[in-house]
Amino acid sequence: MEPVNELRFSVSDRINGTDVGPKSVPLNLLGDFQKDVSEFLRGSARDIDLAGVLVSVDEGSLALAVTGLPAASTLWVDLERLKSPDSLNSVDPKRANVVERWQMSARQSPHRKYRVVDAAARISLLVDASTDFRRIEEVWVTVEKYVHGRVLDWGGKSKPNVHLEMDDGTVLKVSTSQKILEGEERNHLYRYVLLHISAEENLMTGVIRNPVLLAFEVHQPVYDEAEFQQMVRRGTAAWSGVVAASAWVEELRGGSA
Amino acid sequence: MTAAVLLDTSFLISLVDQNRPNHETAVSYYRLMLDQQVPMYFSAIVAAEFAIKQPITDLPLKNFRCEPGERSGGE
Repeated sequence: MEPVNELRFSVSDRINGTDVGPKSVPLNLLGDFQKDVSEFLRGSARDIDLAGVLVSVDEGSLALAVTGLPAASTLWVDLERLKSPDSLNSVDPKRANVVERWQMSARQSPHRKYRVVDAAARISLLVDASTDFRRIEEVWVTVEKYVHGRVLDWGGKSKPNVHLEMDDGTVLKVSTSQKILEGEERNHLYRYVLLHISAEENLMTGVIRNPVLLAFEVHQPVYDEAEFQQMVRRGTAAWSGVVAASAWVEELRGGSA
Repeated sequence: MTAAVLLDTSFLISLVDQNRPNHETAVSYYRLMLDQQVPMYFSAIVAAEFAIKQPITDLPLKNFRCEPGERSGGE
């Protein structure tokens, strides 16, 4: 989605038989809405400088037309994600809080509706009493993994660990025991290693937490011609009854061969 | 060391069976990955599929890594 640089935030409601608009709006609603719009625009990253954003109050419902928004902002990503009601986990927490507040207010005041739209209607976020924006409980599963990287630090007295610089530049702090480190005969400091770890992995995001070192793996693969020829000799005999490997695998997995 | 590869069953079959049309290609990749020290992984599922026709221990396992799966409890 191409980002736009203009958004219209509006809240509509009927209070004491009168529609909310610029000429008739409860002070607390005006204050809360202005605060919510500011918080939604900035998010946690605060990558939008509100000083450079212009706001005008529109007729109709109470509406704030916001212009001058930068294209490079997490705001657009989050608005795209908010097309799904299950998205509150994946959007900026401050924006998720605003949506939750709006939804709670709308459920208490059935006429209340919050909208965020752009002129081209590519963005259209509606929050009212019938919407069901929610957070999905995060699922963490225990996994074992092999991770590559360079050891930046290892050791420690009470909480021994290994600091592993991954290929993407991030540093993974892996808990371990003095026994495992003591048993290593090689000095791995500043060297590339392959670690066998257990950890918890977020099923949605793939984020790893609580990694624990199981072992330093020896990983020095080498080509051995005699070993290779023996493998091919045995493999050629073993697979002689299979005509097409890909079709055989496909059929095994429940597809049509 | 900046990359790793995940091997599928059909690659392993092509690698070990010299009658496969892609045998030489598979061997070339295998040699290249060994030369470049690129870690080669296969999943437990791939190992199980391969083992239907041939013991997984026929492979030079020191050159491969089996990618462990999820655990539902303790070991």
